[in-house]
Amino acid sequence: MLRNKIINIKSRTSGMEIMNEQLARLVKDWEIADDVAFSMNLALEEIVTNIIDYGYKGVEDYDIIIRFTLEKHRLRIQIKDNAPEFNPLDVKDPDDLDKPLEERNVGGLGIHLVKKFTDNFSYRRSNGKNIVTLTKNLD
Amino acid sequence: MEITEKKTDKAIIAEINGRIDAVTTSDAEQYLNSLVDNNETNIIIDCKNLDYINSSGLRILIMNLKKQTARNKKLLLCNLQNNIKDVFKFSGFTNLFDVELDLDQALQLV
Repeated sequence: MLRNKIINIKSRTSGMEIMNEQLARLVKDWEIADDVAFSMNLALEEIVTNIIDYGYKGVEDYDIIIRFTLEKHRLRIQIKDNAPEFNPLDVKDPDDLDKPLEERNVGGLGIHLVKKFTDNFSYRRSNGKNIVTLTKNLD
Repeated sequence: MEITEKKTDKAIIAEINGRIDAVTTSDAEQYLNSLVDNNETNIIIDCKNLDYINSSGLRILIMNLKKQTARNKKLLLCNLQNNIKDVFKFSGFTNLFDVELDLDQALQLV
């Protein structure tokens, strides 16, 4: 009962719109619970935003390939890009979460949220591509 | 994303409906920045129909919270859905915002 869907988006906002619409459709077709859908949408957006802003430096015409897989007990999303090598797991966790407002940074939460909202988050570099895999248990 | 706005004598109540996601972030940012910059008053964001927020949305909130705090005005959120409360908890935003307020409670604080 393994199901798969692969899409290829461009590194721009309209690409992310297609990505979110695709995920919403799969959530419906695959009857994925709202919590899982929310968590994976968040993790996916944070990873892809990172690729577009830092990996591709905001250039809009690069490709990002996203594979959604429904396994028996989990949803898996694999994100592949051609940007220079970058391991999001190397991003330092924010150290100001307990600080008062005036000492808080306004950003830097994206990758931290990916860690918190997934059950597994891994990275590898293969054939000149960055490959991030996110999984979330269904129950 | 859709926004409706109400004014009371003590605050502007903005109800943000739908999603603050990668697609709507720039609209949300523009809206909230101009709301804060053009009104020297307390602001309550009613999130009862806000279904989603990402880290860009959090960035917009903290930027505007800093602006409001600097001029002794409040930026409060109310009626947060559970998934969004989780985003706030994991981001340390529960130190910055009370995530358990309903609209009546928020109105009493302004």
